[in-house]
Amino acid sequence: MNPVLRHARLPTFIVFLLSSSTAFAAGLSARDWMMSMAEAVQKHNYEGTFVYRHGDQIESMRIVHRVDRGRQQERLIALNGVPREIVRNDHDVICYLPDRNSVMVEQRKNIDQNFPAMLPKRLARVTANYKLALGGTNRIADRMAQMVIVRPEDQYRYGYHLWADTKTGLLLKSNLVDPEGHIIEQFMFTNIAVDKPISNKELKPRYSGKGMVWHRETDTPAKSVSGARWGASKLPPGFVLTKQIARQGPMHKQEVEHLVYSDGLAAVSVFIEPKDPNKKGAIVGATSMGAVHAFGRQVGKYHVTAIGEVPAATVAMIANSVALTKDGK
Amino acid sequence: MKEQISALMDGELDAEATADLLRSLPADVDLRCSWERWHLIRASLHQDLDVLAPAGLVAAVAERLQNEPTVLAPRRKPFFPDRNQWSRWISGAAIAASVAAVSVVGMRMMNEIPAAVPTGLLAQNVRPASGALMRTSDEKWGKPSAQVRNDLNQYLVEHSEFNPAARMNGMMSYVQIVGHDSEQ
Repeated sequence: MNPVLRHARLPTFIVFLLSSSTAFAAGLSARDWMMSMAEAVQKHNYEGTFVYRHGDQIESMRIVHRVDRGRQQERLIALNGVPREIVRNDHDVICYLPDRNSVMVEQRKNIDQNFPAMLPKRLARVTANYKLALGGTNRIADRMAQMVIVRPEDQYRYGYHLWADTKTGLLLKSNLVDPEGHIIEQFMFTNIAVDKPISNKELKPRYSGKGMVWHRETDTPAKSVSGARWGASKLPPGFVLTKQIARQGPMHKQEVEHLVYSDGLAAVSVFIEPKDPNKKGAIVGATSMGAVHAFGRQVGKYHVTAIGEVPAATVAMIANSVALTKDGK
Repeated sequence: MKEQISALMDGELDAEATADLLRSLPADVDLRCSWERWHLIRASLHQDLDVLAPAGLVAAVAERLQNEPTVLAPRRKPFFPDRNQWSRWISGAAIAASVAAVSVVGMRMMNEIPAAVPTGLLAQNVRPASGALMRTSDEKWGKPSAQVRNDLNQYLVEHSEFNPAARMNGMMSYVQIVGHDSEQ
């Protein structure tokens, strides 16, 4: 046989090899992958190290995640800079901040939304406000990953580039992309072990919290501030009120009303609290930390703050339209 | 001469030496190769290469250049290689293609050099990559008072629970609390 012909088969064979190795993932749509990513954290144990890049800073963190009889437990450890840890279960989020000599205990109020049954409903809202597309496959933390592109339809929310583990659906990498296409935050696993047994010891924080000041949220029933009801009258398209609660934050001395507006993927929280004459300073106008923007303003005897991982215009629009609703709606 | 190229790229070469160097560049193959390599190295350090050349090229080229240092001046080979040589020939062709691409990169850079190069300008020759990480104005709530910063951190913790994007991968938005503000 002519050597040219003989070797002409080689590329065909390579193409066949490449396509067959990704064939099992080929049938899934971008929406399926989103679903698979959200479900994966409810199904799999994992522990690993990831890097988190924001602005010109880079952080390295370790995460331990266990699913035990449907309950999730997690421990997050900062590996560089000031040592900090967060431990989370179905009921509490406990932040150990030794640099502040503080422990913050936050009771979780959103457990219902974590039920898998909520997922399709939430995804329907995501697809209404974002265009989903499949990207290519890539190797991340020594595992094959499928890229999913989540593109917003307007300037009021960020986009995402997500990479899901092709075997388990676990999110291995994500880029947060602003409306101009700049990557503003990146997170990526550098190594990850999946479906390994995780002991109680691995989930135990290294701090006992002894000698630290514990800030605990008092267990107050959900009711609105001073019996009055607040609301934002102007929202970016697709955002709806998803939660309205009254809370006594672990560090706040006063009752705070907390409203959450979401488009299914992005969320903005609005906090309304009575002005405290003893307090030095409050957020007025716009401020930001990486991709998180906040906007504060006074409304009569109250202070309103909108905060979220959304562009500055979104928090400004929402904060500026917050007012007491007379009819209680 | 190679030190001079490095100095030129760093904008540390004076005008006269720059002019001399640029005059000899087109004629001196060795020197031109160094020039191209320096630019390639710099571009890859700046993660800028995908703007100029296909992704993965640097790695492939670097690896192959290491294995076959004579690639830029290849030996003459028989036109019809035997079977055993065939695969080597294919890889040779691939290297040649890579080098051609590198040359294009080099050429583009060469074309960008104006006739008289003001000292210091060359260092800025590398364009910022599209999709590069944008520097945000402030990373730690700017300069608000400690009270305001505390408020914002607390709000962020309370907000995180309701952030649907965070639920996609467990506690991602808590990462901001652990990671941010950690230099205080």
